[in-house]
Amino acid sequence: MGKEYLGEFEELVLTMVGILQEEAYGNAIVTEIKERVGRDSNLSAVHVTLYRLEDKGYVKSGMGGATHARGGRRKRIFTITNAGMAMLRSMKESRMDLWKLIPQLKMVGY
Amino acid sequence: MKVPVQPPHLALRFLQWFCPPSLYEGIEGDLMEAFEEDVSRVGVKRARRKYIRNVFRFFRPGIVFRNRFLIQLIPRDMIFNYLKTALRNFLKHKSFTALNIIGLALGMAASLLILQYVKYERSFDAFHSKAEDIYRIQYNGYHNGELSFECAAAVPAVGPALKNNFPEVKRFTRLFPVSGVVSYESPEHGLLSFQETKMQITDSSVFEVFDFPLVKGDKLTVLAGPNKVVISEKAAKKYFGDADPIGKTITWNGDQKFEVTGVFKDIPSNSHIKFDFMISYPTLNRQTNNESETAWGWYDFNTYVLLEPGTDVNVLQSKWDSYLENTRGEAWKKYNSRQEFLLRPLLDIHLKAKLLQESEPDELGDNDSVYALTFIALFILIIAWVNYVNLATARSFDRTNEVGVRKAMGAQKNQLMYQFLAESFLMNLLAATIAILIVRLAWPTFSELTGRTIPLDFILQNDFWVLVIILFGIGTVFAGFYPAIILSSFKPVAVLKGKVVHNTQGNVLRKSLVVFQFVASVVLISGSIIVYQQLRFMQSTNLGIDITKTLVIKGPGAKDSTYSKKMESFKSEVLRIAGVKSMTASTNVPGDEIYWANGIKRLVGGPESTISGYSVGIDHDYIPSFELKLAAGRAFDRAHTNEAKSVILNKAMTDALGYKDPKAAIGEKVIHGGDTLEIVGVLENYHQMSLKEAVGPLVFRFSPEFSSFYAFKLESNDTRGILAQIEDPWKAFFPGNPMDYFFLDQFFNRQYEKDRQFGNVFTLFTGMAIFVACLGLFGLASFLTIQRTKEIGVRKVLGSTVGQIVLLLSKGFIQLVLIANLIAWPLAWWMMDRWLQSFPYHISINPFLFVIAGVGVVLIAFVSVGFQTVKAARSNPAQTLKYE
Repeated sequence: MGKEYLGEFEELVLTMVGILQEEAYGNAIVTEIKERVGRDSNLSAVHVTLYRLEDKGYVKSGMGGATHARGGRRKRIFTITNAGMAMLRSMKESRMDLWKLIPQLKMVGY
Repeated sequence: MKVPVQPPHLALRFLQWFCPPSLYEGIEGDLMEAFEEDVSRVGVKRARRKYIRNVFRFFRPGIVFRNRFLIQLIPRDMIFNYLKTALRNFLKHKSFTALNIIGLALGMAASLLILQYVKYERSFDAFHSKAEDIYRIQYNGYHNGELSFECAAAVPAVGPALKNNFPEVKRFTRLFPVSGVVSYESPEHGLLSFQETKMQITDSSVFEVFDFPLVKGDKLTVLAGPNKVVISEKAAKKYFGDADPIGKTITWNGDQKFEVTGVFKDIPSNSHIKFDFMISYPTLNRQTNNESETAWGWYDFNTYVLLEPGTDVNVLQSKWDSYLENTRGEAWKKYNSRQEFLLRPLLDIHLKAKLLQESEPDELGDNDSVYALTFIALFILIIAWVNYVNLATARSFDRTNEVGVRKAMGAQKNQLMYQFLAESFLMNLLAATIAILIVRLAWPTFSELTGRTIPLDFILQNDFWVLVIILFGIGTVFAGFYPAIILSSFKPVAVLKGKVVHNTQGNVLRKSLVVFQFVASVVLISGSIIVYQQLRFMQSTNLGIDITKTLVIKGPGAKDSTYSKKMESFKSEVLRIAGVKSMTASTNVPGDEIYWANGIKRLVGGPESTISGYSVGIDHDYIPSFELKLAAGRAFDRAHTNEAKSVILNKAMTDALGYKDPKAAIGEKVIHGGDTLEIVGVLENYHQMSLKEAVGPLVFRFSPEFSSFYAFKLESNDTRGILAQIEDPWKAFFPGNPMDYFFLDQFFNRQYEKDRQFGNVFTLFTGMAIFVACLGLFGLASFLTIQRTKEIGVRKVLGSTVGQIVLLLSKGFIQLVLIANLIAWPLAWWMMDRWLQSFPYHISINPFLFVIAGVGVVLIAFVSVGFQTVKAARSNPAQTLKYE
């Protein structure tokens, strides 16, 4: 098999998991996406994406502590794995490589 | 915090239902959090709505199927374990496994076979793409207010009348059956000629109404104009070999020439009408001066109409009835008759229509027998499932320890159920595989037995596999479920302590299941005995006519003015052959459906209306040749020169005409078909047709010139030699006519062919049902016997004899079988009496027969139980007791 490929939304969610660290759970990610990218995302879509990322081994999950909010339900906290970080990095790098190949940007650049 | 607002309860329940448990808490929490936020932001109402929407958004494959995935993931190791233990269990009890699998496989195979046959019977005429909208016109003739016949063929004027007056009738087409000798002068092989019985004179619209695809020729033109013929691929091969038939000329009955304009695909076996030749309708119109377009009395035309889709047939029928009343009322009054032309669905013909002049009367199916067979299929299947349930619950005793240990080790009840379902899955899987194998191998034999040669590729279609999967699924779940519940419900403490939980409920169920099996067996056995008795009765009853040792040759096709003379000379030639006792020429032979129907009326007195009856044209020798008995008067005689003015009736006819006895009829005058005739003789009633039909009034006219059958009474058994000797004068007198012959008794008995086949199929599956039931009983008996091994040992030590022990062990079963008999007898009597009522001449059910069936079943049961019990009873108590 070739290299694993991440979809655009998957990459976004994975990045958010990296950003939020200890506070990365479904609702928080939805809010974070809204705040930082200004994009409305659906809770169920975020969940499904998280589980898919978990299947691919880019995040892992565990149950957080109980709180009084949320009707006493625990949060499922996701943390990014090394493989996830490596994936994000390699995606960023390959994008940068491509970026540099666009000619007029070179001319406008420093 | 204020009193928390709850999200909608139902939505939550829904989430709970589909959401995998491992994900549930996280998802519910997130939903809850979003809900709480929404409540403060947009209010309770909208928040609740949004919550519901969100829950539904979670109902997506990415979530729902993780559920199944996880279930598979978690107990996957256990599933292997279940299958492994199931397999070990099977191997440990090889004979029981075999009993179970054979029983299940036979049950499945039997029902698969029968259901495929049923499917075939129901598939008749369904291959026409517009089949749903095609109706055949059934002709009911009334005389004097009484229904006198129901006929499959209508009069030719009906089709056009329907089409021209009712816009819902899109098209009509008529098929007029004919037969005769077809010949072709082949450049390579010389003159080829054959008797053809499957010919129809057809409207060209036949291709618009039906799907009879043309291989060669254009459907718009092939039948346009007189003397055109379209032939089947089979006929094309027969006459022209590989040469192109288009444009060739064939001759019909010696004098009519037809141009072959097209070739159609052979008609599928599941068509109610079959033919090899389609002759253009204008041919007939030219010969009859258009009578074949306008006649209202000539009923030989199979007429079909194609209606606009969605037409309400009842409405059309009532409009059509009043149209007929208005236009035909006058004519009806004149003849004191009435005509009814009913629109009957094409798809009902094969199973429901049993009319006069059906195209393929011997092939017609029977709805009742199809139902009967479906029931038998279900019976066998249920018996097989019952076996499984019985054996599995009986064996539960064996496995209490296993269940106890598993439970003590922490197995949940549903896990145990999975385990036993896995066993039933494996068992059914093996059985289904064997069943498919049986169906595949037995198909040719089975299809021959049913008398329908159903191609194998007809059954091996998708729906066959769907059916296999359904049977397999039902077997696995339903037959597996009950034992699974019973087995998984043992209390581990009690079991491991060694207390045997005797489940009386299970006992009652087991017993009633055994009773059910044997009720079915007894009903089936007595049913098949009665079917056979009725068949034998019909074939052995004295018909009143001697049809043995009779050879029949189909008369020549072309008849000219010299025909009568030629026939007489031929007759005197043939009678010289040693071994030929007599010869008679007639329009019909016994067992051949008579199409010549006419009204008959007394010249003076008698009933006011005409009596309708079938007529047979015979020669001088018909009555002596067939040894028919005269009730009064004389037969046609060479001494009387004007026999064309004489008529012979049968007794049913003189009764219908109101003569007080046959003698009173002699010398009386009747009007028949426009002729005034003198009654010279009255025949005792005899069976012209099979015993499935009541003896009707018959008229015998002296008209050898119309004869189409020559019947020879033979004195020797050397038929081959005699045939060879007949062939010479035949060729000399009737050149160009093929000599087609058959034996009259065989020909007559083919009327019972369908009943015989039904009997065979019925018996075969009865046998299978009983066999499967006995397998079950055998297994059950051996298990219960093994359970009582210790008891038997003790009894023997205390002095019981083998006989006493066998009796003790078999008593329970024999009791059940006896109870089954008591239930089965009235049931079988009621069912078979209904079946017998459909025959005008039938046996009466002998109650002793049920005793025979009952004793038979008891014996069979005793043998299958006894095998085990005797073995147990004869075992040495020292052997069985020493391990305790």
